[in-house]
Amino acid sequence: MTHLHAHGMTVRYGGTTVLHNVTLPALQPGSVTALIGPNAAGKSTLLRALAGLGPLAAGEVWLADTRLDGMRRRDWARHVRYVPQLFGHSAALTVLDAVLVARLAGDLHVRAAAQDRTAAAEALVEVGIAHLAERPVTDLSGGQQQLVALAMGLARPAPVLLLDEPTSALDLRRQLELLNVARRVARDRNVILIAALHDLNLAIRHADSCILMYDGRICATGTPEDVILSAHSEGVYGVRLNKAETAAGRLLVEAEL
Amino acid sequence: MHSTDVPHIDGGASRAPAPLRQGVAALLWAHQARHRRKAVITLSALILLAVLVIMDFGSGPAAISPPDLLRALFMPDTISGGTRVIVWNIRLPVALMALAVGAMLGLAGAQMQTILGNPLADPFTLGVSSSASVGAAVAITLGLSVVPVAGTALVTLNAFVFACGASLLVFSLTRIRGVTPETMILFGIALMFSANAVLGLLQYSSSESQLTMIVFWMMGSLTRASMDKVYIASGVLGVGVFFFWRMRHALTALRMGDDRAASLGVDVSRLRLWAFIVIALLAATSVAFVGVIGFVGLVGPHIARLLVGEDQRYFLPLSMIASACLLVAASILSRTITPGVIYPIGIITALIGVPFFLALVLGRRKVM
Repeated sequence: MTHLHAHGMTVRYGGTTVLHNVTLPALQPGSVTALIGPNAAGKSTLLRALAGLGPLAAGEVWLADTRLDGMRRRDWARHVRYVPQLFGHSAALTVLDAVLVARLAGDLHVRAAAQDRTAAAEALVEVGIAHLAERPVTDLSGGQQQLVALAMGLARPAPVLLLDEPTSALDLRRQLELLNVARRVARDRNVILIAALHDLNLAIRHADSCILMYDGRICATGTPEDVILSAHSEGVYGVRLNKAETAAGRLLVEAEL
Repeated sequence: MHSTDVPHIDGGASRAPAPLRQGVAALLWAHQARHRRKAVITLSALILLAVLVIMDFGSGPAAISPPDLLRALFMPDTISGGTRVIVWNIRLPVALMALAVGAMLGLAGAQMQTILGNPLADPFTLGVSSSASVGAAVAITLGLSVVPVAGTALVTLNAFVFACGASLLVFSLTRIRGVTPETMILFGIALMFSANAVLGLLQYSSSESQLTMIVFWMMGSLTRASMDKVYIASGVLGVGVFFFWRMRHALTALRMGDDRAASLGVDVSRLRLWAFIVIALLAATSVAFVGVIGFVGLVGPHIARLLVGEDQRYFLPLSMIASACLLVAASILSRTITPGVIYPIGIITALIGVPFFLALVLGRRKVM
């Protein structure tokens, strides 16, 4: 199987170590993994390290038999797609052009062919923002820009897709829609998908497995229910978690100080 | 090499259900329509540029009729020697030099704004023009050349070498400290102030006639153009266009932020460094040949951005065309304001550039 595995990942910024010897459980294609943990736990750092965006002080990243660390930027990006958290820029581009560039930017001197344009347009339709195609990116709301960011991640398919807090600026409905899209992409395209999430209920509902991080380390892995019900989660977040069951029999958690 | 080791994942149109395919078709139709509009804008600008170049070529202190101009160009043997000299040694080099330098400054400005993510950047932001002026002033006052056997080209060569040296300095400092726009701008500004101080010192210690030469050199003028310089400038411009056109998608992605570009597979530091080298080459060549011509490299890309946005496929050519239009128009103006007098073109571009620039900024709308 073409699973993603990484071990001994250590990342340092200046003198501080922000990722301590992290070993990721092997993640299977078609699965959605939620990465949870409080602020500054190292979620973004871990995702960026997997995407090859931060220098690894130690450790290895493998996709099946291919070693990713040490690859050239554009080769790594072909295996792992990272969707950063916030968009915020001033480029005078329309949404469709931005998504098209996302597909082409990793290559030198490629002409935008019909299939590239089609793939970009399909990514917009997939994410549900076809009506924004001809709008300047800078005119969009934060939530809309977040959807554009996801479309950019989808425009060029890669075996691994990493979403850094993809729902942080979205309303209730769009959060659910985005995670549905993420699930569908993982299943249909057989993608290994990891999403950093803050909302534990979203993680329970949409993820197959869950990784809990704290202070640059992984402290629990397993199904979302197991991880969130484990003794770690309350201590890590510094809250009390009240658990209940929905009518559908799903776990529901409520945080309390 | 590209996709052999990547598990194949189908992202094409094949599996799309019918409604999806219809939505996609509508999107693509609107997209193509907008791109045609941008192509028309670019083509119109190109036609305007051609008209301006012909006007520039046709105007000057010596009244030469259009048929004579054509004959001098294509059948030089059938025309008097005086006319031939005017056409081949003055009119043609000046018109082509305005074209080439305008395009170089536009390209350098557009890409400087792209890699620094700053609309105020222009080819001279990083102290290239100040350093070139120091080089020219050193040649004029001290008669010193950094290149042996320079002869009459002493000033030009010195200016070029100093401009390149300055860029190399910023380049190496940037490499040590990390390739961010902030470090580049800070080093550039530091360099500009140091160069200006050295320039002041040289001016202070120079004789009256040397001072006049320095001041005149710094004003920027096309009268120093020759066909040899036109060939060299065209060659450098060609290198620049080739490099930046190859990088066009990566450069567009860079405008969406370093992080985003990197996540899309762009090696941001590498791209920024190489772009910087090519920009320095373009700016150094133009400043060495025609002196300091301000505002063209700043305003041209702004016009292009307002008209077609920042998709490099249109932004890149239109920045060059718009800047060339401005410089050629300024060249015509410099000779027609007062008949018989040719004003230094640097003065004209600054004088018309500033109000034009203000009008652009104040009347800013989204066109794209």
